[in-house]
Amino acid sequence: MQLFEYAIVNGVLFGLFYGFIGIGLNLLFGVMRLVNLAHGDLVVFGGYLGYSLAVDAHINSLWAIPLSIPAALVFGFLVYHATVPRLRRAVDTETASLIVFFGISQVLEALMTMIYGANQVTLPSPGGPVSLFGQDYPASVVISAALSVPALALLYLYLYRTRIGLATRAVMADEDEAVASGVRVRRVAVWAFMIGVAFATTAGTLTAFMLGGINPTTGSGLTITAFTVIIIGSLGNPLGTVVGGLLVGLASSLSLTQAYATEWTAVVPYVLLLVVVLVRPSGLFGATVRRA
Amino acid sequence: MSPPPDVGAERLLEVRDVTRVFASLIAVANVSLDVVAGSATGLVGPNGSGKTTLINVISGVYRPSGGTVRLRGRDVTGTASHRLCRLGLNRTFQIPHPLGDLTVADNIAVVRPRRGATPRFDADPLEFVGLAAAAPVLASRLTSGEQKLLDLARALASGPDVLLVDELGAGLSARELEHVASLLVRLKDAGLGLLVVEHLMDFLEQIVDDVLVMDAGAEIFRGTLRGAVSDPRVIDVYLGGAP
Amino acid sequence: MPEDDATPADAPPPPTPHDAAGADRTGRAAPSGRIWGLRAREGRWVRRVVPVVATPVLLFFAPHVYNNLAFLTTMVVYVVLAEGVNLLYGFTGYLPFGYVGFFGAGAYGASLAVVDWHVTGLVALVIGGLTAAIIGLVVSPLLRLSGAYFALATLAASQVLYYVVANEPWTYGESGMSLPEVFGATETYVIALVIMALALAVTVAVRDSRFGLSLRAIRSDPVSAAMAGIDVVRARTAAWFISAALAGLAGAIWAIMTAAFYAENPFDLTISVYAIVFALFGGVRTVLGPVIGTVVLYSLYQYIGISNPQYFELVYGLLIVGLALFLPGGLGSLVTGSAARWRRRRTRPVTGALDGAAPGGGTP
Repeated sequence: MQLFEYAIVNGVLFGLFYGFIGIGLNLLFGVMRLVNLAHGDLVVFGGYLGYSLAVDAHINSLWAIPLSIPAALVFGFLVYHATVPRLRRAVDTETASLIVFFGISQVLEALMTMIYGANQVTLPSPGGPVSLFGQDYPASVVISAALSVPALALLYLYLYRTRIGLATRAVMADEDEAVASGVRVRRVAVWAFMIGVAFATTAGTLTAFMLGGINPTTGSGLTITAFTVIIIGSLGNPLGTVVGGLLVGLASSLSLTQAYATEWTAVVPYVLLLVVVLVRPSGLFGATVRRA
Repeated sequence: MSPPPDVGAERLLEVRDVTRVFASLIAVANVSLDVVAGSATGLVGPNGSGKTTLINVISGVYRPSGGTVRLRGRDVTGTASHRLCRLGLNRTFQIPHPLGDLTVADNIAVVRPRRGATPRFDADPLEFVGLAAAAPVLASRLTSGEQKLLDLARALASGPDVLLVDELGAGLSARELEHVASLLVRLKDAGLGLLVVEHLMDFLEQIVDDVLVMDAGAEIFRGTLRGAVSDPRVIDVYLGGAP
Repeated sequence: MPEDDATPADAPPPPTPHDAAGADRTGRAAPSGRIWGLRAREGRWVRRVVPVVATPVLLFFAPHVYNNLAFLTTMVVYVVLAEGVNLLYGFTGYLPFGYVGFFGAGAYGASLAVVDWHVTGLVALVIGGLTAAIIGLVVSPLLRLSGAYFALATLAASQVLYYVVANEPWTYGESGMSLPEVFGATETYVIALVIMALALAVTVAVRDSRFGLSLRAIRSDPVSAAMAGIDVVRARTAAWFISAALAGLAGAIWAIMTAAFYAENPFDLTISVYAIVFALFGGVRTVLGPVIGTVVLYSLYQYIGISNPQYFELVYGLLIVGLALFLPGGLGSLVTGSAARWRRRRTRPVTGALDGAAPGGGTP
């Protein structure tokens, strides 16, 4: 049973990280129905920043986390104003945003390939193996999971302990009602957008640790995983995202313990996504049923 | 269950004990009504009393949780909207639902006309509502009042026996209301059966023969409009809960 | 509507240009003025026949200009895929990110038919189209979804299909298949052109038929469309199957051209991506938009994309962002859009429907 226990702990560690990846996407989709297909690419961009710090500046790549935040906020602010007002006027905002952010994702992938090349890069491990419940886990994985917890807690505080967080939740629940009760949707939306982008880039360095390395195409897979996580956990529900992350993490990790299933691990998020959207499109914690 | 107003008239729509439950909310509870050829029944009640839900159940947008709907004697409970359209039942919408990417003419051309039945009303629907001149315009460019008329024209294009009219008057000016009321009266005279959801009493007075008042999903009054406005329960619901 | 009994409105129209002729009961394809000095009736025929006939004929002579049949055949295959995307996204609003699944299924079905059952090339093509249609049937529950859910769920489905084909010993997925020569290179190109003509004919037929009008109505407002008597589920499903079968045919001829099947090639998500980008670039809901989009962008790909794929990615990424924000109708809307704008301006001060109410001032 050692293998099984290892898989459980490993699944939880990955699950926390998946929650971290999903949470920024959830904020954008929940508030404005924007489908940020560039989310995963922003994550990878953050990862490359960590790589640059380690390889070029010879400092710990975890510095990428604080350093990337201001850049991400500015980037989010600019992209918001360049795209969102027009998207909101489109007939089908959701599909239009899907297309625009898909374009942005391709631009990001192209830029990353030009700057860093198409090959996989890896980050030096931040330390020796860490022992948990009597088994050893790579330090990179444990640190990433450990950093995901305060990040998720921060977003929880933002949503539930601040005025703008209250307004954000109001917009997520029903935008028209929120407008009617005096919420300034634009301000909520700009901040949600900027914070969503910042969460993506901060998760970047951790991604390089968790996945063993990154390349410019890592992002698209991450975007799908992130979508799976937030759809399972119900849109607009940050705690649901954590649970969704844990489920995806555990399912992927446990599939690795089955000899037959190892080559299927990569497909686990896709299968989960299909099952959830067909069986329970509102997610596990969804009160409102999505018009399908 | 009240008898139809005119014993000899043709009963087109029979709604019996229809109930619709959402999660734990009972939106419509055991409502019964008849729609008779050449007459109009008003459906009145405060916001959230279940009128539109009832229309949605009758028109196949929602399945009822209980009860039956019959169209010319045929059981159509839970039948899909497109089938109901072909069987001679159509509707308008509280919030206009234009086919915005299509021209006004195409909004009518797309309708599948009924087969095997001579329509009770077969004038050109766009001429009838007064939108003929707008035929080449995209429907999304009409005003919302015009879009409501387009909804009406599209419903008429299918040659219905029964027409459900959901708050056609809301948001229209006095002059526009008069125009719309005269249209509905002409439809009634042509032999259609109308079920008219409306808040505006003056508007209803010009059209309906009897009314059914709903509150919290259930029937609280049935009879003439004159009787309704003097009924203590109706007054209580309206003074207590009207916006 | 006298001819209404000829074809049910929400059944797919027969995919031949000939039958499309009888399908114009809507009057919408009849511009009131003249096109190139022709009357409306003749103009309508020009709009139908020219794309279906002239496009393949022009491309037939393309090898005299640029003699690279592999490139040209692949380009024609992409035109078919872009038209398939056009049918789905342009007419129903469903963006199929996993469209490549049908392409891969077609390639796989055709390859298996050639290698295992030793069928003739034409039979293999039909089997490829059928395989894709069967996959379309299996994943048709996805049509219950909309927007991003649909786009991402089809993507997930295509990846699951890819893993099944790639990882199972009985599918030849691990070893791959090499195909004997079925058609010569020129023959393959001509057959690809025929498939493309079929795709164009289907698009014309859909554009000009009641079926197409129904699809556009559904895209505008499914509830109203249903109330207008349109069977929404059936119409969407029909568009879905047509689109799947076209991708299957494209995959089959592609597999025959490459004479090899390795799952990672025909299931590569880039194929979906390119087909969508090409269609959007040229303009969906037009017939020639996806053709022009494919010819321009795929030539650009050939020019810079093969040696420096990241530059091509950058270019088309920027193109998508710019198009989606500023020209959602693609290049095609530069032509049709200006015509529509002109028509609107001319007819703007009309209505007066509400008994003398001023247009625009009808409601408070």
